[in-house]
Parts: sequence; structure tokens; C-alpha cells
Amino acid sequence: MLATHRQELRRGTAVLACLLILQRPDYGYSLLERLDKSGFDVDANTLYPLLRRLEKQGLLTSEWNTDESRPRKFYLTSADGMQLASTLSSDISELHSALTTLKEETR
Amino acid sequence: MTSLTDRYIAATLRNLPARQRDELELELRSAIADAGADQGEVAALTSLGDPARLAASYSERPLQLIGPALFLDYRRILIILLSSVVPLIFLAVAVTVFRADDGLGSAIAAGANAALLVAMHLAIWSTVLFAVIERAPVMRKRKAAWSPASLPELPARRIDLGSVIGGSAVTAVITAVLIVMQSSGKGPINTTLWNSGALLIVVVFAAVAIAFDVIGYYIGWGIPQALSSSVLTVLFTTAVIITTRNGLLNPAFFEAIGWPAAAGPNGFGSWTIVVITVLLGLMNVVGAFRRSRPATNLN
Repeated sequence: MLATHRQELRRGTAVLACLLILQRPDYGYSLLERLDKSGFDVDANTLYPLLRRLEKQGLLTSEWNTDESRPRKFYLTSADGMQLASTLSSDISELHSALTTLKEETR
Repeated sequence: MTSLTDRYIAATLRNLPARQRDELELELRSAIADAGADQGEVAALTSLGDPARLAASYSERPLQLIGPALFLDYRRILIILLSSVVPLIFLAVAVTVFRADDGLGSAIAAGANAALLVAMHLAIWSTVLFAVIERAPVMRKRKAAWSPASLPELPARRIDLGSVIGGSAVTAVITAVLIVMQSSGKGPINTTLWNSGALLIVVVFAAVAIAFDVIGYYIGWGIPQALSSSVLTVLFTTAVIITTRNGLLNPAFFEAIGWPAAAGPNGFGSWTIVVITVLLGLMNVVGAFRRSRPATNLN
């Protein structure tokens, strides 16, 4: 039950995390590992379709990189994506301060 | 032997539209190769999970037959159809067979048999209909796109659930009683004509009418729906009139109920059917156009 609640809380923040990480271009699997390291528990089968959706919405751009041994699709946060990221970030801060106020009030 | 990755990718792409396949294949291949270099192919594929689920996630297809938006209406319609139609069918068939002096046991058996059959048909077709509506969001979105200006009126332009259920239930009962009486060989319709399967048109008409009712409830009822429903009604009425004039009725049935003259082309039975069909058709057409008028009061 604890895991479910924590997962639910983090789910909504995965998009923001992707947009922030992808300010520097990166490819799917590397992004997956960085999310994992930062504590965002996103499954591979959720992340890849999500990246495609975000690209379709114009929040990410993508480019195939064929310099290395195997071709990889690199994603980069677009201008629209940056705007959404800053909106989402300020929403998170607002939520955080609202929660802090709540905690102080009930003390 | 093909590699696991090839099999996995084939299984995923099979469930996706062709235009997405080439790019997705490249994407998946590179993602699986990256993960595979780290954890091995099997672990990489395991973490991607069931290919059908992955494909559904890519194409944003619903992973449920009937979703939360429709489920309550689906359940309501199903419960009301089953609880009203099935007992009526049971009674109608049991009484018909009992009156033909086949004994109480076989009357109950025939009734139960027919009730079960009708219940299964109702359940299957309602489910199919709602599953289609679930998978065709166009059907629900389209209406808002048609007339954004009239948005506040939309709920009022919808047919209320009661009239949908009323219409569907009545159609289903009439059709089912007829089918059951005929299949016992003692029905009012000419047995040869019935066995030829030509009268399947009645079933088709009933099914289309029910589908029209339910779809009209979801996407709203406008002039296009009224027109197509009317065309259907006129076609059906014409077909019924022509067939009735050419020996639709079963003389044996009318002899059995002591009214042999009624079955002839100009007999009372034939005329009754023609008059009732025309009247019902007229009511249907008038009702269809009434529905398409915007409601005058919103509450």
C-alpha cells in the first residue's frame, strides 16, 4: 500500500522530470536510467510511448544519431516543452508551500 | 531460428498501424539493444513487458472493453433489457406452447430455452454496441465539433435514457416473440417464407433500430439521424406491405385459432398488419423528426 501511494505521487511528476532532463539531448535508455537514479520509478514500457506522445504534442523534438555503433533517437525539450516545464515547476513549488503551510497549521 | 528481439518486435508491430511501424521498429531495436547490453536480452524484453500492452500504450488504445465513461449506462441498459424482456419472452413462449397442449413440462422447457437464447443475444449485442462506442471516440466528440455554439443545449438535445430503453425493449420483445413462435412451427407467419430466411430482414431492422436508439443517445439526435431512420422505416414498411399482400401469413395458424379467412391477401389479418405497420412507421418518422428539434426548455 505504501508503495502504491508513493508511486501515485511520483507518476504525475515523470513528465516534468523528462522535460527537465532533456534540456540536454539524450536517448531513451539513458533517460530511463537517469530517471531511475533520480528516484522516478518509470517503466520502460511507459517511458517510450510517453516520449512519443510528448513529441507528437510538440513538447520534445527528436533526431536520429548515427555517429556511434548503433543508431539512437535523441530527444530534446522544445521551447513549448520548456514553457510547460516552468509552469509545472512553479505548480510543484506552490503545492510544496501549500503543504508546508498545512503542516504548520496543524502543528 | 529468429532472435527473441525479432519475435518481440514483430509481436509489438503486429498490433500497430502500418504507418508507424518502420520508425517504431528502429526505436524499439535501439532501446532493446541498449538495455540488452546492460542486462542481457531476456531481462531487457522482460522489462518491456507484454508486447500487446506496449502496442496499446503506443497507439493509446483502451485496454478495457467498456470504460468508466460508458460502463454505468451499459450496465443500466443491460439490466433493464434483461429484466424486462427475458421474463416476458419466457411467459409468451411458455403460454404459447402450453396452449398448444404440449404439457406443462415442455412448456416450461421451451420458455426457459427461449429466455436463455434471448438473454444471450441481448447481452452480446449490447456489449458489442458499447464496445464499438468505446472504440470510436469520434462518435462522441463529433457532436461537439458540429455545433459548438449550442453547447449548453447539448444535454437537452440528447434523448433521455428512458425512451432509449423503452424503444429498445419494445422492439426486442416483439421481435423475439415472433421468432420464438415461428421456430415452434405454429407461428402466424407462412412457414415456407420463414424458413427461406427472407424474414431475417426483421431481425436486421430491429437490431439497426436499437443501435440507432443507443447511438442517438450518445452522439445526439439531429436531422441526419432522423432522415436515415426515416428512410429505414419507409423501406421496412414497404417490404412488409408487399410481403403481406403476397402471402405473409400462415393459413394453418389462422385455421387453428378458428379464423381461416383472416390469412388471405385481403383478409382481416393481412389488413391489420398493413395498417399497424404503416401507423407504427408514421409514428417512427414523426418521432424521429421531433427528436431532432432542439428542446425549447433546457430543464
